[in-house]
Amino acid sequence: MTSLTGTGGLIRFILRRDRFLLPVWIVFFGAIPAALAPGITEVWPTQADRDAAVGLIENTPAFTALLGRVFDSSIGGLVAWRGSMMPVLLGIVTAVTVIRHTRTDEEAGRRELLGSTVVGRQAGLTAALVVVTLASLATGALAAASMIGQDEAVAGSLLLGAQYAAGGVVFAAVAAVCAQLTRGAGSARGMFFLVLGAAFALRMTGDLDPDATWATWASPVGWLQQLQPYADDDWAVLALPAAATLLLTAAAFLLQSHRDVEAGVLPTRLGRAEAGPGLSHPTGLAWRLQRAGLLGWSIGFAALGLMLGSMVDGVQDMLDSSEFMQQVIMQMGGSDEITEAFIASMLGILGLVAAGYGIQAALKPRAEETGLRAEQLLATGVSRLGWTTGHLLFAYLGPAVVMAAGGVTMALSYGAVVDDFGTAVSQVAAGLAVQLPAIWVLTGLAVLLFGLAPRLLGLTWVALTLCLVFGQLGAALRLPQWALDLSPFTHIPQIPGEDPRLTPVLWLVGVAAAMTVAGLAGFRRRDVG
Amino acid sequence: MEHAITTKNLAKRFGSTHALDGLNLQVAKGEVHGFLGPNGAGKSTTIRILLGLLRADSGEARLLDGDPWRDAVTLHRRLAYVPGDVNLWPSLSGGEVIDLLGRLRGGLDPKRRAELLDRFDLDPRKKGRTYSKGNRQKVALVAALASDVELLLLDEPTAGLDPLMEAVFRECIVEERDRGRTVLLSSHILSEVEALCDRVSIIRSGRIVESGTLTQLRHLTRTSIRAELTGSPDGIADLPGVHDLVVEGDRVSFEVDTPRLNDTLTRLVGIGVAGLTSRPPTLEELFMRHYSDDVAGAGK
Ligand SMILES: Nc1ncnc2c1ncn2[C@@H]1O[C@H](COP(=O)(O)OP(=O)(O)OP(=O)(O)O)[C@@H](O)[C@H]1O
Ligand SMILES: [Mg+2]
Repeated sequence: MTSLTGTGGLIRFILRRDRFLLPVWIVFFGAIPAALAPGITEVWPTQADRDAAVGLIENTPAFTALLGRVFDSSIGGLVAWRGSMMPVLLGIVTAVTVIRHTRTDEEAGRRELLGSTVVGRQAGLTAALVVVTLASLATGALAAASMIGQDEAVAGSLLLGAQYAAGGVVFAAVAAVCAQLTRGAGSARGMFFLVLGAAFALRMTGDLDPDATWATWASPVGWLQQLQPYADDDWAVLALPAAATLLLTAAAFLLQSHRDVEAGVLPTRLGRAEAGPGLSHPTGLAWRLQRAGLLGWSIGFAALGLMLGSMVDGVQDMLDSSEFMQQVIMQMGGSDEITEAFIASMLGILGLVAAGYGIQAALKPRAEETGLRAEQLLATGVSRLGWTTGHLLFAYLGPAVVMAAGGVTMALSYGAVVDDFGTAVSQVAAGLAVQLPAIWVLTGLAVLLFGLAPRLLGLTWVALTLCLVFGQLGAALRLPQWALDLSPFTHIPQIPGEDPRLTPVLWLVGVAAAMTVAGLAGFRRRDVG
Repeated sequence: MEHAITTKNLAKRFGSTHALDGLNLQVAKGEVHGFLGPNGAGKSTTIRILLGLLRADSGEARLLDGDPWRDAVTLHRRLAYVPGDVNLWPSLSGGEVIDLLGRLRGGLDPKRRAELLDRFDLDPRKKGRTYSKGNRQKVALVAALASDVELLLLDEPTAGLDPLMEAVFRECIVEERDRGRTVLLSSHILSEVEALCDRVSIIRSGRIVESGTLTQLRHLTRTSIRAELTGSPDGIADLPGVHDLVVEGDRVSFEVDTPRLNDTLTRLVGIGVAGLTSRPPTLEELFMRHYSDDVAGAGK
């Protein structure tokens, strides 16, 4: 038996388990470029319109920070720019898939079960990587074919497809390494998002600061962007993600062959012989189980906030150096407005990411339940509500803590740039505070599903992805307003910039509270396990 | 007789599976009650209903004079549960888990905790993720046995224990009984059941098919007889309750339904007996009979 024996069987096993999910995301991501094109044609019908648009975009730092630079004013070029987050999102999906089919399985002991049958030790990882690689290629092929079908340049369309596929493959390889380094699926995911966040931040820095092009080239997100489909069609850049994928995959296999099943590479130490005073109520246990996650996310947010805040400097340089922008700025009400819009959209991104933390914390009770650990607690004098409350404290207050960590560093670095700490702090604080109710709606959705339909809990991640896609692409995809209104983030005021409106915020709080109450009531009634 | 556990016509379905189908179980206070049955018979489901983790579809269950679903929290302070598959928190040490579970049940005796750790030879400093299956089981056992409770619900608690530890477990259960505690012990290990249980209930396809002391159950089955006769063995084959008769010269061996034992022996004595050995059914024979299919119809 070689270490790859049984890979074919495992591939079929993964395909069967993901038979609904896999086609959905392949079609979803594959269709996005073609779905963006009509909107762009409608808004900017002539080449002159598009040239003007590119001038404006290139000088709007919030755009540059979020979506990167725009390299070409053709319809294809604008599609590539507008959807530039999508190959990265595809990468998140493939990464989560790889972790789910390797680490999660191993944690649940399924790997051991399979490992004792005729399955080689590398078969599980190989199977997961083969599946997501094929799926990424299919997504890319679909994206390319549909753009060619819309009469866009063939070479550019092919490269756009390659960009999607490369995004899916390279981040799957990153996740494969993360899954080997840590012990739990949760920490593997956490580590992956940390790497992704850093890659994104490097890309932003490189785009906003002309002296920091190295940052672009140090980032996988930067590589994807530098393929420049429809502009330079720089096929040679594909060598970078390809080489990274090969190296990371080799590293993952090497790590896997040097560790025991269920062990991580990082060693574990002996613990205490007796419990400290904190471990005498369920909230104390929730703290023990969730504190590392909270700390990790807080540190990540602090770094992100520091970086985003200091980008204001680059933004202002950009504004000062462009005569075209000076005029636009005058029309828009002055450079403060532009800076504020930049800050507001960065805070919006922080809010969406913090919602990811909220959901993760809210899913913990379900993981405890399916891991058969909850039943041991619920067989003691702990009520179901008492047990859930411990974890929900993290799901509802954790996002506030995490965002506060990001807010403090952002306000400090932003305040240092504009030399006005008072304004910086109050703007950032208000901008972050209004994100919370929208985050709570997603947390509330998780609690609702946990109580009433625990098998569908994964839909919470789908909902977050939709919020992200609607928020970033909704208008460009010409979605109707009611669809955009489904996202709680559509309803919160842009702060700084807009007046704080209290009514929508209160509505969101109400919706979140109602879902939480319904979910908890459902959980008190249902079977555990 | 006072009961620690009673269920009446308890039923529970999972989709189209009838996990429990009119279960009547009675466990007296202060006894060690064996709970046996083939895989998938509904033992764990019963225990999880008694713990208020699952809600029965119909029927009634009483546990320590309370309703296991409504009064779950107050009842749980008076009982301890050991699941068959103990999963621990990867980042918590065994000692921490023992203290946590003990405290949540209302406190545990530190002296008894230390003594049990010693007897089960368990290092409480290891993290949950580094324990072997048997050691995870021991963590849950120590936590349960060190708690001051009236009732122990044990679902295949010795599934991963080595023979040495299995012996320690048996000692502990005997001590628990001597302290007056009630134990419901689900198990597939027949020698363990024979050594520990005052009474047993056998469950099949969600119903109790037999319940009583082991002596009573033995009575319901056959005894093996070998005899050396001084007269002709003719006619033995026609006796009611005699099965599998083998005649070799003046030696006979057969099995007889235990209720017919007296009649049969009287007849043998009439023929004239030179030598006789009789053997009660082994537990294996007893349970094979109850587990295998042909009894399902006969049991009713
Ligand atoms: N959560 C569940 N969902 C669906 N079916 C279940 C569930 N739990 C148990 N079952 C089914 O109910 C029946 C009884 O299962 P149970 O676990 O109670 O058996 P058991 O007697 O404990 O078996 P074993 O000796 O193997 O532990 C089985 O057919 C099982 O497949
Ligand atoms: Mg069972």
